Amino acid sequence: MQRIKPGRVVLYVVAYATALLWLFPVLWMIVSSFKPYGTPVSILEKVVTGVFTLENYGTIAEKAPIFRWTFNSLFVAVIVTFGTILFTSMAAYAISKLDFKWKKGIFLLITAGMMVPIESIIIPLYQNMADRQLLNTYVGLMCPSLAAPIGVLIMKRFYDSLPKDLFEAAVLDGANAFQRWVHVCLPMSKSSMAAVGIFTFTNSWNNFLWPFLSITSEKMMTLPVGIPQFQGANLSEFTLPMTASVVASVPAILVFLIFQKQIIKGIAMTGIKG
Amino acid sequence: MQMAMGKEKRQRAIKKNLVAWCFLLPFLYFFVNFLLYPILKGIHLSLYDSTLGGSQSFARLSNYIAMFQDKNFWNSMFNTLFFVVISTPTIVLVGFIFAMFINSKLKGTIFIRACLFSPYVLSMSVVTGLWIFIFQPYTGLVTQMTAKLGVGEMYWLNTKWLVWLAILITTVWWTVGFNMVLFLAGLQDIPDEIYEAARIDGANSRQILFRITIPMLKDTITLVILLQTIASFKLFGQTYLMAGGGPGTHTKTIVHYIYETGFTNRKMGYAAALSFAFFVVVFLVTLLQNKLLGSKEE
Amino acid sequence: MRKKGLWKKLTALGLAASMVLAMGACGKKETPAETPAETPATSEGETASEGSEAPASEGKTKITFWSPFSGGDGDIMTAMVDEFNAQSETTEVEFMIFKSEEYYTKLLAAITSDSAPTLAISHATRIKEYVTDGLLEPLDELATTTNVDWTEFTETLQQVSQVDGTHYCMPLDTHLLLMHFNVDDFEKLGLLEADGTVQVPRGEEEFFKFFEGIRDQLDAGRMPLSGTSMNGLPMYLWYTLLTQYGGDVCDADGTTATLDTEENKKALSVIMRMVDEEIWPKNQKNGAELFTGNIAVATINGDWAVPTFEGTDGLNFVSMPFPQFTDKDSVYADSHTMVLPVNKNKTDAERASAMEFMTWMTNHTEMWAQAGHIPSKTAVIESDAFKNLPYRSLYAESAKYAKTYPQICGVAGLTEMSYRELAAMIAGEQDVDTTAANMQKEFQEILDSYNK
Repeated sequence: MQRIKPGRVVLYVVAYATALLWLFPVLWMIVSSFKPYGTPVSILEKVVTGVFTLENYGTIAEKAPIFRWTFNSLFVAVIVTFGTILFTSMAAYAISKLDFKWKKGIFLLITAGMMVPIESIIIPLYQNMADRQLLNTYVGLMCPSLAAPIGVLIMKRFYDSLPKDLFEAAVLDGANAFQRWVHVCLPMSKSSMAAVGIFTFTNSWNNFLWPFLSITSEKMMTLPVGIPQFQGANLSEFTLPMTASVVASVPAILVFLIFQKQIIKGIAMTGIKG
Repeated sequence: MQMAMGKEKRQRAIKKNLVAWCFLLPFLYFFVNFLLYPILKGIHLSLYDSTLGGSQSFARLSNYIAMFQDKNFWNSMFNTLFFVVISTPTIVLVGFIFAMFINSKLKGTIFIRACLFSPYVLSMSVVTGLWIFIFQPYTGLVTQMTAKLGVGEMYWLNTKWLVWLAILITTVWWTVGFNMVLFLAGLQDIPDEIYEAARIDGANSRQILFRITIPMLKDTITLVILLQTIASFKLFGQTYLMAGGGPGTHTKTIVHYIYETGFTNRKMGYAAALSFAFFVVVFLVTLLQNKLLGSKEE
Repeated sequence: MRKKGLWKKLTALGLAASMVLAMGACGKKETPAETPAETPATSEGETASEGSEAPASEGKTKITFWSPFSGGDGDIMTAMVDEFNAQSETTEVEFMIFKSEEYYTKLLAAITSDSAPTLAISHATRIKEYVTDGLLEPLDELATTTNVDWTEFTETLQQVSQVDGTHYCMPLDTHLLLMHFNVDDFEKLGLLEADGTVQVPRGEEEFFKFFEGIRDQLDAGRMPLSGTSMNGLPMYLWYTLLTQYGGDVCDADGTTATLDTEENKKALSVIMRMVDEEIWPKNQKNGAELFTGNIAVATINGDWAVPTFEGTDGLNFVSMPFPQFTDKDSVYADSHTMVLPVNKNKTDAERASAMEFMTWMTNHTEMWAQAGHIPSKTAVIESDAFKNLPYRSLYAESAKYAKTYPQICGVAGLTEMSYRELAAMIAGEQDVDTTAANMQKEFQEILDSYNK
């Protein structure tokens, strides 16, 4: 058996200390959600002592169609995530591995699209959507997210790094462009696709401004649009908003846990080795 | 003969182009309709004197002329650039360190990873709400800790420069998880054999880090810096919700100013001009960055 | 290998989903070209029940109603709408709550695309700006057909509900700034009156003497007064003081800012005196929480805070009118009103239903008063139903001298400007004179931009 090196011990201490530090505000949020209405959540000793209750969860479930909102958020985010992974992977493959006219120009345009804040384009976008009668529809909710260029950049970076001979070999085997994408690119880029997936899912899950402007009926609301109902303006009752936030965060954390497996594939393997 | 060959070549070229466009089309459909079109419409709008919901009249370049004389514009541009400069290296570096933690095969990696990533899934309002509790005076956590050390009230969110530190900490906590994931994806692409070969050659861990890991991650690093720079440029929610852009206008960013101009004061034309100027600045900065990072490799 | 299968499946799923999506997008896109513009922009799947043109099976006209109410306000308003829907035989109201900070952005965006709701909540101080840009429908014609008697509203609200003699809104309430006291603490301090109220004596020096006395008696770590030092609260306090000292933000015709004045400097320096004397410790982030958390014995907050305080376990409090610093009674106020945003798809049947709803609402504001606000009609204020609510009648009298911002365009800009300048002053970034000069300059620019 190998001796544990002192450097390793320091690494353990630092890594775990950071992890706990990082977790602390999240834990705080979760604990606060179990406190009775009106508890001052910023006063730590009042949060950790005294009564704990599920009351807030009951209040939220009773006051708002929170399951419907969760479904909406989930439905939109899942389709947007898969759509984005698919479309950006295709586009990135074309830009990275295929020849066509105006390639550089198109890539520059896509990159430039990232540099515009949503606040700047939201009104033209709104009017565009109103003309198409897509306000207050699922399709209308999804479309702007599917236009996000960041996935193209991430996937292109990865495809650029794939060795040329892989593709040349595939060409020799008679694979056409589509087959090369399916059999070479897709299987190799799982971790990049997972990164794009995590990013897209989280962004869609927390997306506020566009859904807020676009949705006009309660049953179409997503969680970020509906949840502020529990926050009073100019006030500081925070146990209810905390509870709503917990409800809103759990599915997103679960999705991360699922996707991250794809990213960290190497660790499990080396674990067996080591 | 030659003509026929030329024709065949052309046909092949056309087919190649066609195939490529088929791959591009699904993404471009959404990109053009729901991003590019609104952007172009915005640029068009910047030539008008336009009120949200009100009148609209052609104004030539007067919005741009007004912008150059607007000290709020320069001030918010400066604030934004300041944040880009302090936050980009910090978040990229911390993200890299976190990825290294996870990649060093500690026991309980899954737990560490989940902890470090979990803030990223929270929404803006939750994040800022939590960190206001941490930084607020009198009852805030930081105050309770510093009071034990005998330090008086610091007013983190109301003091020049200190407020930037608070915003930076919040932003790192919230968004570093994504950079970590990108770095992890990059680290996974480095074949284990390279590390093993280096270890057999007697390389120590520092040498491995600087000679193998970082050079192999170059593309990822460039990408992460690019994405983080753009994200930092777009800073708005944290400063707006935690400090109201204050004290004074000390943390008012350009996106905050665009938002306020367009939605609070309803001056859509002017907001569109500000947006276009913002875009030009981001574009130039990222271009410059790419040049610098690109030249390093040679 | 199994993993490969999974990814294939996921890809297939994604592909299928996106095809459905793309088809949906294409299908939808064609509709506007085919159908004339008059088609009401109703939400997906609800096109069948456009009650107005072809009365729906149950014969009720459906109207939509948007509001920025959250927390307790939202709950109570929801209950009121439910009650109305149960009672009305002709109208069904779909009530929507949206996040308050971005509410007006949403409303404006909807108005510009003819997708505005039938009815919306608007603060009274915003009316003038929207009327100037033609975004609201006048109500007088409708009101005559349903015999609305505008004189039933309190005097202040009669004035703010009209622009140049035309009515554009129906007020629900007056909401205003108050001071709330922890009864247990004030009893210990010996400052609780026999009737369970707290009376802060009139006058500036008296105010400071009163609170300095409290400050000196409190244990370390406790505060005499709390109130969030940024966003709305400093502005409510500032405008209250400004008007008590006889000033206002601009002249009568709303063209010249009057903020670099002695009155304004006086109001600002009183705020700073409160900060400097540590009667109101500076840079508070959550003023209400310092009060519910038993750190501050009194707090400055609006009437809207009453329900939260009532819901806090173990807090005994009393809400009183905001103290008066001079002989001139005044307190910052605004009013939640109901308006008809312009929408060319709106039908007369919807208008009639909207009027029915507004009339019902303004007659039942004793329910709305549970949210802490003061009813808009004198008769309701004097009703037993209102008087039986705790605290409310203690402060209802302040509605008589409530002061809203003058009727001008650019109140949103004025609000943003004063939030920022006041927060900077309280944080110690700038002194009173600089603040007054900045306010003058910036507010004049705002006024000019609307009056050019």
